[in-house]
Amino acid sequence: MSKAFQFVKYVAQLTPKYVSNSFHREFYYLHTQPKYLVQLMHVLNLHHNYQFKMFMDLAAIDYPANRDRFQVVYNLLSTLYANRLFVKVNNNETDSLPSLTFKYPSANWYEREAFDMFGIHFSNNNDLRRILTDYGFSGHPLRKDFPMHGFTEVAYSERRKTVIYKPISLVQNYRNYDTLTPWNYFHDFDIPSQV
Amino acid sequence: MVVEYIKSPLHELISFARTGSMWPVTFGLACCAVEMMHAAAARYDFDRFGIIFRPTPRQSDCMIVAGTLTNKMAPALRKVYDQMAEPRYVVSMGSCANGGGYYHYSYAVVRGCDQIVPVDVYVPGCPPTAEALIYGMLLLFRKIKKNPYKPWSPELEYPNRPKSIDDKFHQSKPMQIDMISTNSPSQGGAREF
Repeated sequence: MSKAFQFVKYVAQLTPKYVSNSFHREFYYLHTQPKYLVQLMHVLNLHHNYQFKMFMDLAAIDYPANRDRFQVVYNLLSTLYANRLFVKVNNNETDSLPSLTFKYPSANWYEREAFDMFGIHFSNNNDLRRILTDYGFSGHPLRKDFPMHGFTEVAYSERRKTVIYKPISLVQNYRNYDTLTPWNYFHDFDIPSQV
Repeated sequence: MVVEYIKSPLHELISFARTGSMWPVTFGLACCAVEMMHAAAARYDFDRFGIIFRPTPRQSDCMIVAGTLTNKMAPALRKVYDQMAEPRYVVSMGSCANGGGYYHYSYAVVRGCDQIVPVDVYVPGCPPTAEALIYGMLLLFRKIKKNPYKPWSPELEYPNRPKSIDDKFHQSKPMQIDMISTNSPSQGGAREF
């Protein structure tokens, strides 16, 4: 019985309701549901055999075809046992996930980033602002249905004396390429230059 | 005739003073800033041209926009430019500052810093070498020597050019929707004005 299997089995036995799926592929992965997330994190944080005291990362993935559109992956580290653990939660577009900032204060910026880029709402996070995009940005850029160039662009308005947003226009200007070379290779002949 | 005799040494004196102590405000935004540092450091040595980086807009004569200008940085860039004393000049350094470059189709990047500030010299490259930046600064000097009094303005060089982006819009259709950036994040996005 491998150590990984022991670990997964122990988690499943300890918290049978919280863990919906678990596997080990180079790291430990646990699947849970949003309503059990806080309880599971509580166990993983405080139980003597886990001690996942460090919140390393939070990532979100957008699967537009799925019923639960977003998958949020929490990355925890146990410094005592030198273990890493990935906790995965599937969440749909409308429901909010419980925030973990009361347990891991470092989760705040990651949750803000997930909110900014994907529009995932975290309940009980009292500082859920945008973190990366500009002030006044609308939309969530890392969603699959967000076009790469966005909807607006920024320019300075001479009339308003301020930087404004305007609807995007990616029209290319008319270009007149002068294909005649400016270098005169044939000195004997007089090449008429293009007007 | 007499006026010309007085004017030309005055021209030379003023252009000598302007070009001999050009102090750029440091506006390093991305990897172009590293090349700008190379140009300022001992090997290429901006100091021998009298170019000393002055990290404040108040006492500087030109601005080297070195790197990707993002939407979030654009109001700050314009604010720094507005704080500079006239005559002021802008050197756009690198593909991103010239026209968006690699990030031209990004949702978060300004497509050229000439959307925000008027630019005198464009230095191409990704990033431009330190020699290229020095050559760009020398081109700026040449430009100043031609006309040492006034800064560049689109009306001077292109009298038929539309004055601003607003006028360009007005040509096609009257402006009805205009989104103004608000500083309050609780606004939840661009609002209609």
